[in-house]
Amino acid sequence: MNQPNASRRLLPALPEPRQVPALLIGWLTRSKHATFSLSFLRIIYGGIILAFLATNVADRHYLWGVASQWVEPEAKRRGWIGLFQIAFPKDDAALFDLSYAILAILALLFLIGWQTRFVTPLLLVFWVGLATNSTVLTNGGDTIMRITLLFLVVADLSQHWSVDAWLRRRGARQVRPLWRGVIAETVKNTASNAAVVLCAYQIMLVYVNSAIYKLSGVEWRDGTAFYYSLVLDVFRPFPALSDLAWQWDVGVFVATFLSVWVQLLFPLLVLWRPTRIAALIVILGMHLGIGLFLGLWPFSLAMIALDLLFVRDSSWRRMLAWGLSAVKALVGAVRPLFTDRRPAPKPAATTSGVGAAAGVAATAAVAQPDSGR
Amino acid sequence: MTTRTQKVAASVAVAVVAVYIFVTLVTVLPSSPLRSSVVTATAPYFSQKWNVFAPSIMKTNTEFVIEAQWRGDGGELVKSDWVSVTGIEQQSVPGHAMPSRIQKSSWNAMLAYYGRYVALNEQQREVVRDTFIERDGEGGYRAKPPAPLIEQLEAVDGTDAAAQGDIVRFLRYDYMLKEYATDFATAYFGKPIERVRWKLVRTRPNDFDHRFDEQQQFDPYTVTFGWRHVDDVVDPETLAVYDDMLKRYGPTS
Repeated sequence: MNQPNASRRLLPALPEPRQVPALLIGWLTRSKHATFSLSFLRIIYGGIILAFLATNVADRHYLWGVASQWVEPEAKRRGWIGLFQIAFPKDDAALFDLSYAILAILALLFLIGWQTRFVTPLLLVFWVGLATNSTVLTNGGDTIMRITLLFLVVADLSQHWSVDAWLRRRGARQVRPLWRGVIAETVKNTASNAAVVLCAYQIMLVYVNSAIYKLSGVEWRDGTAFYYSLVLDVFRPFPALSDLAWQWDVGVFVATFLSVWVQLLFPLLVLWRPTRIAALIVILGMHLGIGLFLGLWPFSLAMIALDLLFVRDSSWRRMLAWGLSAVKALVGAVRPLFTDRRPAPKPAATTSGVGAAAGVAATAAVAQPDSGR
Repeated sequence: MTTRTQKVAASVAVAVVAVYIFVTLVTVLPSSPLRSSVVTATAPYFSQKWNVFAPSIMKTNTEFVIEAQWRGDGGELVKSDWVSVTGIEQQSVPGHAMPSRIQKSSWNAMLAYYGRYVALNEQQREVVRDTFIERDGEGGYRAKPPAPLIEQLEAVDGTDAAAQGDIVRFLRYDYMLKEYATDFATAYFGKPIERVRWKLVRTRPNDFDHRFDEQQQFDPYTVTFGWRHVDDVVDPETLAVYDDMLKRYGPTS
């Protein structure tokens, strides 16, 4: 048997080594990847920041403002550059409130995707300025958002579900010299794809690093760690729910083992589509659990948004088309329950026809990626 | 076919990703000769530690509990009851899907303070559990100045150069907690506070194997620190913020 031929048959998807550089250059420069995931991430990050500001609005001066002067001896030793320190001063409540309001507006603009290229760096400055103003309030969610927001400054976050995309579809295309357009497009594609790679690497770093630490802890190895996370006062938003969760031994063991092993094997599991889907389902479940049971929603949602960078645009289109079909089917099934059964003066077909046409148009819009790039 | 622009753009992207991977791997790996210089160059923006809940998961609740003294009508010192700052701040947690970050304020502060306390040796710990107040020579009292306090702690047997850093780090946090306790006590008791002290209380829920037991498996662990002299006045704006917080989470909320 010819060994090289057998190897090629077993690994048909692997490219020849000499093709790798060209494939890599092509992948990085020719088109933008993960555009749906990046748009989803933009919405989630914007939502997280808005929810964070809303839940802390009453305590803002206690946590970061005039009443948090006591933390300054430590905070000022962290070495943050002035750019991040000027927005949220501890000695001027009015300026602090103004910055708080500006941050909320920036988060809203980011969420709806308006002028994202300019809003993202501003949001980064204000968000990091607030999150680093104190040394006792930060958590892993703040850290992951701080690092990835910097990468996302060069990513295309507004291809879908954004005001920018809507304006692009409505507006006339600008005619530019071909050489300038091609170079600009190549640079934009490469920057956006590099941001995707950096974010994907960052999430793998978090998972693998965290899993290795966990494996050296007794409670993670014997499967009881999940119990201990449920009994600390600071992580019990719903005490009855937490107490209910740790009653079931098997649930505690499974949650503990899955959280360690899926994190540890995540970089391998995402390489093959079936294991990637399974890993994403388990890890999304884990983060939803962290949010629900421990109240760490900013961290959980940020991780979910980053996990979904591993979902391809083609998968998003299929999921969205399926979702729209399901909604249409549901509406079709529910509508007769609310329809007036008396004979109508005019045929009802006109209304349902418009609805059906709108549904078809919406499905078609999802099936066709935005062309304004 | 790839153009020169594509090659240059891709090369820059690959270089940036490679540098970031190198930096982060050096940062998160255990100590190496390169680590301190890489961490210094990339901190604080890229500082990251992912040992969340690991290796040994956290098993204790940590509380910041304060006591205060003020002058009564006759000039005598009046001592307050103990009040849990953490207990009040964590009123924000139950029933809130996404609690206010106030839940972490004194909790994290006490974790940091405790870490610095255990970094001291036993004799130094004994010193810092004592009061930091001295006679001012005019019949009154004042806070011990930092310099002689540092000298006293450095004079403890077995204190080397590395331990001197631990002393300063502890005293800095001790000063911060004095300010925190003073602000809180002034608002809570509504008095001009002259002295504060605090205790660190750690309570541990039953282990997994005893989770259904009615009886508490572990006694609370408490470290009580000595009195600290309050030498500054809490500004009205700060006081108003504390008053407002106590209305939301305090005993009268």
